[in-house]
Amino acid sequence: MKSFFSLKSIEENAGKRVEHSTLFSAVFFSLSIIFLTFPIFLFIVYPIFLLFWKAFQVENPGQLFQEISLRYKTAFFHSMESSFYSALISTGLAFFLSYGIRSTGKWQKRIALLLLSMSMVSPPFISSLSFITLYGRRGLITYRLLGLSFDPYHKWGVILMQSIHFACMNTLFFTNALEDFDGKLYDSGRDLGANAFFVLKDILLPLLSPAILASFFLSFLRGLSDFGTPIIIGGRYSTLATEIYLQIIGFSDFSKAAAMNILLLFPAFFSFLLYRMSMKKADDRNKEQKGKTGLRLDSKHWMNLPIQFLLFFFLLFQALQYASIFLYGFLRFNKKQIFFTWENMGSLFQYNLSTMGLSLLLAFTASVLGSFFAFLLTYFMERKMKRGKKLLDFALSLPYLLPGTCFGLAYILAFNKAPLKLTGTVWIMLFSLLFRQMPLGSRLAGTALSQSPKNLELAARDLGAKPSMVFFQIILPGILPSFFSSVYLQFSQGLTTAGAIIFLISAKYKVLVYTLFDAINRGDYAVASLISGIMILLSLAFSLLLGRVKSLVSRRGVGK
Amino acid sequence: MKRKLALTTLSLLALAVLASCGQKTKESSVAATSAKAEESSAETEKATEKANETKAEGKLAIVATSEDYKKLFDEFTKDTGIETELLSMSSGEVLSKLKAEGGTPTADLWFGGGIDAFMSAKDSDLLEKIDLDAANDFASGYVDPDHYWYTKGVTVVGFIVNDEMLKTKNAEAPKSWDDLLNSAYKDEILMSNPAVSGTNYGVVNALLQKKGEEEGWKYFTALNDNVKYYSKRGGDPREKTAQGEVAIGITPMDKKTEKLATEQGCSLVYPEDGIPYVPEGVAVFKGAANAEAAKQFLNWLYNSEDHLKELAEIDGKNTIKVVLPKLSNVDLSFDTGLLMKEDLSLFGSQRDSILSKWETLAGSKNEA
Repeated sequence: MKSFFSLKSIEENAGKRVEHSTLFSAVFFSLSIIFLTFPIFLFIVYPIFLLFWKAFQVENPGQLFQEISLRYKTAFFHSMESSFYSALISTGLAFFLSYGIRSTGKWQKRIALLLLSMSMVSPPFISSLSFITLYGRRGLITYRLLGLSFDPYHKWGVILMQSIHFACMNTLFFTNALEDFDGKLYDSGRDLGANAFFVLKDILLPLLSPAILASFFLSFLRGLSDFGTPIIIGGRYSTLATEIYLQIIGFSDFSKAAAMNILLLFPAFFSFLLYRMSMKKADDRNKEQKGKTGLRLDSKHWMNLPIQFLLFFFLLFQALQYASIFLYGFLRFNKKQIFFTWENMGSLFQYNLSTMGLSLLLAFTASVLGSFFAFLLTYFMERKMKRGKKLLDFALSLPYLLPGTCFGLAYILAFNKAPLKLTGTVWIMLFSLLFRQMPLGSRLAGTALSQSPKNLELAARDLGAKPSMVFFQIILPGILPSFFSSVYLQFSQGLTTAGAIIFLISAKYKVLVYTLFDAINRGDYAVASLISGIMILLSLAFSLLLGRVKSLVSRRGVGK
Repeated sequence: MKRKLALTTLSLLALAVLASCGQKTKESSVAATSAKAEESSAETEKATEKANETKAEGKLAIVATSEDYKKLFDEFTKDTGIETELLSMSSGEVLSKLKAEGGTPTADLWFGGGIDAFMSAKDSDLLEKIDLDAANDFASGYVDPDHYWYTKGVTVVGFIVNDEMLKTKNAEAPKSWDDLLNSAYKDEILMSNPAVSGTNYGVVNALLQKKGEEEGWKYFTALNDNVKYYSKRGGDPREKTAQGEVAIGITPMDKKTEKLATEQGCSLVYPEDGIPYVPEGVAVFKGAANAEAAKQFLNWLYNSEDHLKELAEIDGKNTIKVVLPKLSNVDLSFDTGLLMKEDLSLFGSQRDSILSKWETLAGSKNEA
């Protein structure tokens, strides 16, 4: 180790580096690329291509596209409009929320983070049910408490619900980014006399732009493909994603659904290009960050008050909504009268709860493997690939572009025949969970990487470190917080999202979301709430477990 | 060097994927030759079928509208030793899944769901023809003339009414379909999109048959003024009415609706001027691994009045009597005279034209 610092050994090592970069490195690199990109082709590009291909299997594809772009002009516009606003609001909200969390006291921070990780679990249908119970025309809070009767079934209802929902996930981008943030810059700004507001504006915001961009881009994509929210709260306001859903459920018209999905490709691709372009700028700016001093935000500035208020109300809003989910499971209604009861607990066990085991197993495997894969691939893509980077990155983002039902259908289309027969097996469910959330993992990885000091990596390589050593000892410690976030998010999403998996389950292999839907189908809302409660508790338990692992790992000090 | 290697491998991969895509879209014979060159395509199909059978371990896989039917299937297992697996799915989902699976269904039996989906599945060649022992006992219209589908009861349609909401509007509860046109109900009626909800498709078709094309469409144009919007989930009208989001929901009148109404203090209305209804289908999937077991189950069910009675108990209604008038141990709880006169044979053939006309009419309620 001592020779590490001698000039001589640097020279020797430098020589070695050239040596193995010609042979070993080249082989290692191309093998890795094959190993990493092949699954992307097989499980993302290929199924989606098959689905899109349906749009061209009609007699006159040109006419189909023409008809669709005329017929769904408004829906297309609505998609753009609502996704843009939701992305904008949720990103802004998330920034202030994470700023608030960062500048608050220790135990408040803990509670806030716990509530946030809970809010990221959004059991399908039941969360919107509780939203309407609290804030609908006869909502407990809006009508019974405040005497208001407001009608949320319009554009702003959709945007509001999406914004709140996306903000929870986006907050993670910012909390991670703030954690990796080089506090020295902030401190020097403060030392030079700038107040907290100006430091925020001139130092924090520009340097956080990777997180801002990533969360905006992802939210925009999610908005484009979200069909659930407009169906539940949109009323007459319909987006292209809901119309795609209608084509599949009401008409099983794959050609039309595919053509409409291709239409969604355009705004997605455009936003992707913008994202990459601005990301490049942000990367150049962040090259010099070293990220060793923790960030201490000024908690006395006037600006803090409104931010803390915002955080408080946001968390209160979430806490109420989730409390009502839990509570609903212990209520019995009769002729408008409400009773407290344990009965529902009993009927819960009449349902098929064995699905819980498989759900946990799938969510866990998909979250760990998926995050690891996404992070490794993103690292290779961003740091090693010279060409095809953009194309690969876009391919990685594709799963978020398709409404869940379409993604599930694409998988069935792709894997229903030998030699790729996976339908009816657990594998198709696992792969769909794993790759559906790929955009999330890769975006989190991208943000973390853009903040990890590139100079350090170059230095290590110059000193003769092997590529694997660079990854595990230099890169990994820096991106670990984001990695854990990615694992948690993928886990909770895998446990709760319904869109794709509902098409891929079979009578033999069922998941917890399915049991939830079955309860709703039987009109057993109380039991459905209890199942949602189980999902939330499972996710929270997992998040606590991850927290343990995370602190263990960082105490061991990977890379030190 | 690195770059070149990476590029060539990438392009090779791309080529391989593209090639396999091309193969997929071509006829199955190509896939067959690549799988097992020496066998003819028909033989390969049989072989894969057999493979599926062993994979399914002889378990009968059923897709139903809910897992409530598990009791019935457990009974069947007790009698025959054939094990079953149950999955619940809406008929729209079943249809799309079936089409995507391209002749390799992951389930065997389809149990329940609006008949329009079954008719459409038959037209798309997704169902297996089966001749049941009891085929001749079905009332006309309740069995496919070519024996591709059968029925197990009917879903009747009515209104769920939130009286508290109506009181604030100073309006009485509607008693008939014509009452719904009352301007006091403006924006207080919720109906599901008939493309998504088989029940509401039944409403549109039945009222058109009753009133005649011209009058019928006039009626729906007028109704459109009062409808708040057309929901894309079948359960929305009753749920949102119960929650007080609207005053009136057009909904299937089943166990769930009754439960919700008693819980939330809503009332149910069977329209005086005729109750629309939709038969609930039963069929075996084409290419099913356990088609024989599925057929065995259907015979087990339809050949025994006891089993049918059990089905009626699970469904919480005796409408199986409408399907099989010969049944002696169940009685209808309502007068069949109240049901609308429907020519069920028109349900399938008219679906596309009705839905496209309906879409233009309802355009303003669906801003898309």
